[in-house]
Amino acid sequence: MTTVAAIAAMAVAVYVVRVGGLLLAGQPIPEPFERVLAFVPVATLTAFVVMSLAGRPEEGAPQLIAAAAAGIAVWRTRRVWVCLVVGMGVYALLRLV
Amino acid sequence: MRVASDQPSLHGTVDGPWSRTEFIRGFVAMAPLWVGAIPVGIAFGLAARSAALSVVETVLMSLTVFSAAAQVSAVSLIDEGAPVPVLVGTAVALNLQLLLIGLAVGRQVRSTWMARAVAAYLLTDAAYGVAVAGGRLTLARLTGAGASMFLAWNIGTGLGAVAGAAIPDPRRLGIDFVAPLMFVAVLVPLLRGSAALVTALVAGAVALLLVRVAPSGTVVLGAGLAGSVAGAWWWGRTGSSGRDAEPPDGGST
Repeated sequence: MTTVAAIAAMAVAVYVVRVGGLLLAGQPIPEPFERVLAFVPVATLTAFVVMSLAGRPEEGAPQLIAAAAAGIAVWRTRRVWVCLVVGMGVYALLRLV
Repeated sequence: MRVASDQPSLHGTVDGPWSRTEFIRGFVAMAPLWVGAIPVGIAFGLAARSAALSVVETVLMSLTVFSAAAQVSAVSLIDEGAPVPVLVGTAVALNLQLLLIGLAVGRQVRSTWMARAVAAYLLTDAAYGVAVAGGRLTLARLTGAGASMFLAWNIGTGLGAVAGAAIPDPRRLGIDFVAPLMFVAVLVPLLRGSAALVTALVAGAVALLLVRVAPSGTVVLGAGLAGSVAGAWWWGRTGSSGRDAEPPDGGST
């Protein structure tokens, strides 16, 4: 098979996975599964936070501290930009030290 | 951008016609993550070219497969002469979490099949993570975020495929730290009620266990399933009063 055909095969397969969930969701879903799906946002977001912080272990403490500070900031203010500014600011300061 | 808990409960409302404002909101919300997405795209472009893929094949992969994990794996698999079923199987395995995410999204939005088909093409972990902010999830916002990532990823791939190693990597400055901050900003307001906290604790623990040993898709899938099952179980046991009265995403349509 040519490379282009291989790429096409991969693309189709991944698209099936992507669209599968969105299409299946139109079907009636039993109540217990409904409840589980309601918590998917929190669970997956937590996974993203952990993965992106664990990505560069040599950066370690400054990232964790900055992320914690940013978390407190957004908890208080409910503003995304505050979280980004506080987090990047603390991180920059800690890197300078 | 205001975040979810500012909104009153939106139980029972229907997703209106596809909104351009929402699309732009999603597109802009993804913008901070460009600083990570473009360099990784460049890296993929370089890797693909050194595995003797042509510029066309490299760019085609990012336009059609649109999955960093699958594409990077595919490049080394192609280099080793792996057969197509292995390429396809690996690509699917690395993106299974999108099935779970698609289900969660599909449950929360009402829209035409066409809107879903388009949103699906652009669906990634990051698009979902970013789009969940700002109140009730809409397909337009998810599509906007997805389109934004798609653009960044393909710009990066194009640069890497064509211009090569000449481009400096902003990640060395630590600018890509904005990605976890973005997810923290979206996550924190959703942590209302004990069930949400249980979800986050379990998901976080599973993610920590898996992150060194499993590819990113598997980490998201494992933590996503474990956390949401734990949260749902907890909510079922404790929940129908006060802050626990509603699951955190505001319920379904």
